[in-house]
Amino acid sequence: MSRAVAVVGVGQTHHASKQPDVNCAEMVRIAIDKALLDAGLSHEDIDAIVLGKAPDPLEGIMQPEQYLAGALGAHMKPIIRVHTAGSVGCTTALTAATHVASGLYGRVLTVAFEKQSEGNAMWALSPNYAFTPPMVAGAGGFFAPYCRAYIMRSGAPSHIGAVVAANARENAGRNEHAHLREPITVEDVLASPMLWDPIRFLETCPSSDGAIAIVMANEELAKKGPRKPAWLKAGATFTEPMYVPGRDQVSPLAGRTCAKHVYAKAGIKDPWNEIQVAEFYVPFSWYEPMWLENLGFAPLNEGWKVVDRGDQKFGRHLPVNPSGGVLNTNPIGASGMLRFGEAALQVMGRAGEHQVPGVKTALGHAYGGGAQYFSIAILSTEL
Amino acid sequence: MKAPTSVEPMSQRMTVQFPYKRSTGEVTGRFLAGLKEQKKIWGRRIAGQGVVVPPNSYSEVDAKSGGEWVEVKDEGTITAVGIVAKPVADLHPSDASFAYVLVKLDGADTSLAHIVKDRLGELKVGARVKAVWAPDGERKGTIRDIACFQLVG
Repeated sequence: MSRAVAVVGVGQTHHASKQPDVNCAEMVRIAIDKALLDAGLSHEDIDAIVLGKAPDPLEGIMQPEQYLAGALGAHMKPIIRVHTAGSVGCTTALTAATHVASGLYGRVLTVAFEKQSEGNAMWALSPNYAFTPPMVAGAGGFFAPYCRAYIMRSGAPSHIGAVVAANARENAGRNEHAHLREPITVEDVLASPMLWDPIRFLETCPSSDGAIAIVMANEELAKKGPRKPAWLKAGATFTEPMYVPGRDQVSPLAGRTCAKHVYAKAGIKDPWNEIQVAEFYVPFSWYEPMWLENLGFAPLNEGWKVVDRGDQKFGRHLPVNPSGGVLNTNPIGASGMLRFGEAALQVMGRAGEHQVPGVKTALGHAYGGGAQYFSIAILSTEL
Repeated sequence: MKAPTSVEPMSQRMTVQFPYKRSTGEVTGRFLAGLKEQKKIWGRRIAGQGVVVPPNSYSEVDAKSGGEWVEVKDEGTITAVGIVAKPVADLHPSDASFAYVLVKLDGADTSLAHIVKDRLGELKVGARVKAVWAPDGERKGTIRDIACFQLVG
């Protein structure tokens, strides 16, 4: 029987296109210091460390878990590094949670980061797989056909992506840590250059430098903390291979399965009405309606109608990405953990200006690879 | 037609490379500036660790931030040595035979990794070595501003 897991501290850097004054170690330490301060703890209170980041070619630092061991406070403690592409941040948080749930560790520090300014994501995310032609498509080139397929099969009007982008930016304006905060209109988005049809420049995530750290604890230790924790009611990760016959890349089976799994575990029958805020991994605008469907918040092909009605906006029925999301802040390795951490902050009532009132249950979600890795967490005010 | 039934073992060559640009951070930046501008080696006295070279902005032992700058000598004692008799071109830091060494500089409590190029047969743990600096105008603010170490005496 696994034990209860609580989030007791969350800390993040300000996210920006460049943080030239710090190296990777110093950048993650900013987030760690804030998370420990938030939890009222110090390094000696931590029993194990779980690090996550996207592929090493992003910064060219091979085995960052080795270089960062001292900076993370791993001396005489276990450390592991997790990697599941874009979903890694959320998967890393869930791996840390598993450490606590196992009963082996009382408090675990989990950290995720990316310093995109030191390399080039387009290059780093276009791997030279053996015996296949190199496309150097980057993530945008890879996911654009899936977005187009979604538009074709759902009949979504073409402005939906732009509406998502403008709303996400408005949300980011309330998040002091967000990378992009300048307001943009739907017209601005529609007038921005088409990068990978149907994805325009302003419908694309930025490249960010940033880090997030979270402290998790077991029930006994969490209840000793200075304030109410966020309880992890359910968490799961599911995977599907790239070329499984009959694969649905628009609404992947692994995502649907992952959502069903966590809802069952958390006792959620009607996510639309039982969850008050959601942080989805939306690197390209069209993924917001796509995930509304994939995660069971809207019927198949009707996710875009939620966006068209504005029911996913701040102050409406189910605010999605009140932090501004990946569209406005994307230190890739950290992006999934930011979804988890923002969901936890919402549950603790400490999200600041972008706090959604009355949150009891929040969802954090990330995906990665070629929409192959899915990672979802349900956080709650109640144990 | 059938698929080919047997082929000679085949392979394809590929090169993966990208020019990264790394931020040093303040502490490493000041250490490198000391090499470039002063021909001096600066360490940091960090609680629980002694004088650390190259320096850090935090303790590797307890992860706490802090430390104070301490100048160490550009001369020290070898604590480990490994000789590369036949270097691989464009891979190793020297085209001719050389040795990797760890040098505990006088005044430091940690050992610095570097290379020695001459008198390789005389190298041993405990041997004394001194830094050979890259000439003025050629130091770029990297660890190779110390061109190599050489045996003293």
